[in-house]
Amino acid sequence: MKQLNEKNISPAKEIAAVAVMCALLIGGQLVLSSVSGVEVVTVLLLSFSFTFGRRAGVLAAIAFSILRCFLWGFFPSVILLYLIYYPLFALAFGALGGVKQETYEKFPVYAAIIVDFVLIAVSAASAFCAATDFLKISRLAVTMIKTLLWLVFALISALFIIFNVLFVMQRRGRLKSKSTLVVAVVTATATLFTICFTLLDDVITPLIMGWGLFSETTVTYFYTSFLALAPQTVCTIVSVSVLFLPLTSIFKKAHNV
Amino acid sequence: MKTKLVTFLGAAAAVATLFGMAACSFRPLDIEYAAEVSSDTLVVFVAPEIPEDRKDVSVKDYLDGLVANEVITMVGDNSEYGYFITSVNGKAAQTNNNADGSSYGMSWSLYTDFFTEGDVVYADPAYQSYEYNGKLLGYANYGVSNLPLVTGYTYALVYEDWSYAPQA
Repeated sequence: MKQLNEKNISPAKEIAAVAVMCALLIGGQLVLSSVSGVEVVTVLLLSFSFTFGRRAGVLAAIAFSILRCFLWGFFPSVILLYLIYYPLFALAFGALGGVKQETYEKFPVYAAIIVDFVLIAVSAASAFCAATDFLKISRLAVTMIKTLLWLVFALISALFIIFNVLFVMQRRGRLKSKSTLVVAVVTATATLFTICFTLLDDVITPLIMGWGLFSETTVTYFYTSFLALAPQTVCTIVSVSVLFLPLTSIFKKAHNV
Repeated sequence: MKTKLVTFLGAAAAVATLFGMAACSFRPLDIEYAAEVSSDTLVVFVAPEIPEDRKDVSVKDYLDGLVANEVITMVGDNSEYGYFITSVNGKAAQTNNNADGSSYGMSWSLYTDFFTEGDVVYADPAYQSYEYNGKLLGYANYGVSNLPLVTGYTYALVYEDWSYAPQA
């Protein structure tokens, strides 16, 4: 994977790429808006930021966050949520894409520990919510949500095993391609971001609506947000692990034209 | 050739399983569908006797029955939080935005007196309430597809105005 960043792309090409990306994000969100929990914004913006760099990623994120309101309405809580979350998201994955290739070729132990910590935290939290009565949600949704949380646990556990096997193989010089390791790192980060999106909404919406952070309404809002969090997390794990490499490959070709 | 055949059979089995699961999950409900539609801004009904083994019936299922029996008409969209009603009996939801970030409009709100079950809060009259024939109904915390239909409880769809201004 050749390293790319914003320094070796012309401003005109960068603006065109950001415009096309913004259109793709809005189109992707619109097309899948009626399918519960399924979205492509995460994997598209992630791959774009990873390839085109932080600046292009943040510009696309801001343009998307504002222009999408023409279709879904101008709601301050949603605009604030999107304008905080997506630029940070683009910054993070732009930074991951800008990491020197040698780093992925000899993955540092401290970075592996961070990735492991994220994976263990997410899988443990998922298992806790799925196995206990922590979630106080509608009986019509609880089975589906708990099943999805077990699925998140299973997928993240599998990712944990794959990542550590690859890491050990790389340390012993037996791993020729570093792409799979990159996919594992990116998927773990994207999963964490997706969960943070809903948790951030659980803070922003109550504050803007004036409910207060610890009121009964806010607590109920937190529980019901799992209706979105669980399927979105599964979608992120699957879509990023499957589509990240093909999409970055396509974006690199566009970048190098 | 053998690999292709195995792949095809595997895919066919997966599709058949999905259809089978979908068919098993659909269980028709043998109840009477009735509602009081006293105006074009209100639909109220009391849930009839639901069989003991049917804990899976939602308000959406009952509304679908009302639509099928031509008691009401209903239009809506699926969202990540379930079915979202956009129009009932021709009355459509509206949203208007002001330049200062505030907004106002009309929408179909769901109220019920089925407040709690165990630790789960289904409706909260303290947040927003609606009084119907002297009965206090609370604003539902769930949409129609995730709100259970429970025997004897009252459910009301109310077309009402709303306004929203962000807190400073």
